[in-house]
Amino acid sequence: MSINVVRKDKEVNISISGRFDFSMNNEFRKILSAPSEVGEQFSIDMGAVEDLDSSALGMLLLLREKAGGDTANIKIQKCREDIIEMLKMANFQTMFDIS
Amino acid sequence: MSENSEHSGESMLGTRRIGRPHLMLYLSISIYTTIIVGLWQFDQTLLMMVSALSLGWVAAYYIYRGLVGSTPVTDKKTGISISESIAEQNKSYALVARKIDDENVAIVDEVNRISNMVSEATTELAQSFNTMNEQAGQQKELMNAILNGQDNIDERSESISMSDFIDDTSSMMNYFIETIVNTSKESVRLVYKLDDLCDKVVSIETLLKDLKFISDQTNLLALNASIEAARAGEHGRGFAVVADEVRNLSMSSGNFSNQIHNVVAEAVVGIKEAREVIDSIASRDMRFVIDAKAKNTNLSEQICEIQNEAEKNMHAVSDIAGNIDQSVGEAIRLLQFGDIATQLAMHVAERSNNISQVSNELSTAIESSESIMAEGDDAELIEVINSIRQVCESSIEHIDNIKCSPVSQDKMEAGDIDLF
Repeated sequence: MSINVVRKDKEVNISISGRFDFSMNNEFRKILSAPSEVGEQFSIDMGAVEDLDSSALGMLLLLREKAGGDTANIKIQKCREDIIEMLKMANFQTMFDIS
Repeated sequence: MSENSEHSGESMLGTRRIGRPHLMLYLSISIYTTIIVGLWQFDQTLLMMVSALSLGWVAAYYIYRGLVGSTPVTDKKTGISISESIAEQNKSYALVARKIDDENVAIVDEVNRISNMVSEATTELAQSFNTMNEQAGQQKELMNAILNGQDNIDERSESISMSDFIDDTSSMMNYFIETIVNTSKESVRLVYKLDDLCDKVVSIETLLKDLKFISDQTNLLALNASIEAARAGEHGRGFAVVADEVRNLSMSSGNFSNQIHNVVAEAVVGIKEAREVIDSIASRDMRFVIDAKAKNTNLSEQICEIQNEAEKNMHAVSDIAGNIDQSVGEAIRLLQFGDIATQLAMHVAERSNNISQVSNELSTAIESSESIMAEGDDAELIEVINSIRQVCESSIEHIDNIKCSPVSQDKMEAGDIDLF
């Protein structure tokens, strides 16, 4: 259960492991409260995520709002099949680049 | 008929008394006598030859009479004369004619029964086929009503098809999920606000510490001021009162900041509790929603499949009902064989009646010949035989004149039936 953020110019690489839920709230807030830059690109590695709940989805939506809403450029990568199912069920495939 | 003519020829030979051969014999004897008398005048030798020849002719005639006989011909084995056997035969004919008549009555009766039975059976078959046809039609209508759906339901209320229901369920499920996710998002946002608020409240505490430091310093200063006022004696008495008041104020200020500190601490606790509540609101397990949605999708697919299958089957049933309709129509058309059979039966009866009529005519002719036979006159006998022959010929003509069968069909294949 950890979150790791690496910034490189306008690219922000976030890698999450374990259960993605409200306990990551504080860590995630740091990303959200960091100053926004125009054209920022977020890439979230969820390869090690075992499970997620609705607060995780809420946090991802807040990140999308921060990154510009409909113009946001966020990739969610390396998801497990069941995680992809859950994201699709919440219609996230229309808002994020899921793979 | 040919047999009959043979019999009449035989009777001619066996029963005559005076006929043409007798006349011919007397005529030839007269001619010979005339020739002999003529020749007597010319030549005796020639006379002798002609006399011998004449005697030869007479001898030949008697030899012939001896062979053929002028007496009635008899059966060599039984000794019954041909005229008697013909009489016997005529009796047999009369018997056969009566039998034919009896049989004919039976045939006509049975044919009429067949005709009636076929007619009744045909009528009942036609009725039951018609009933079957009506029921098949009703079945088809019902099937069409089911297939064309919900026309009746539409009139009463808004139609809810299964697929609409599934779509509604699916969209409700999506709305539910969306609501959960949005609630979580706003909850997380709210938690962040609460965190901010908590930070602000905590910063009030810092400020309170500064305030406490100031009031402590003020208290210390007031204490120093009252010490200095005591040293000044009588002159410092008024200052001492002021210093005491300042000290009281600083102490009040300290108490007040303590109270604020307590309230702030309580507020922090409250905020933390609220945060926990919001945390629980934000954190919803999404697995059960996935399962529910998966089940819903699966159920929807199954229902659609069942519905499609049912629709297909109902179409098939409707088609079968149509085929039954067609088959029953065909069967009713084929039932016209009943009419044909009835007509054939009537024709059979008519033919049978004709046979009976012919038989009656023959037996009448034979019976009328019996008295003449008893008298034994050859010429009258020949007349009777001829009249019987005429009856036979007219009978043949009568039978030939019977109209040919009115029904030419001998198969019941569709399209072969003509209506009469």
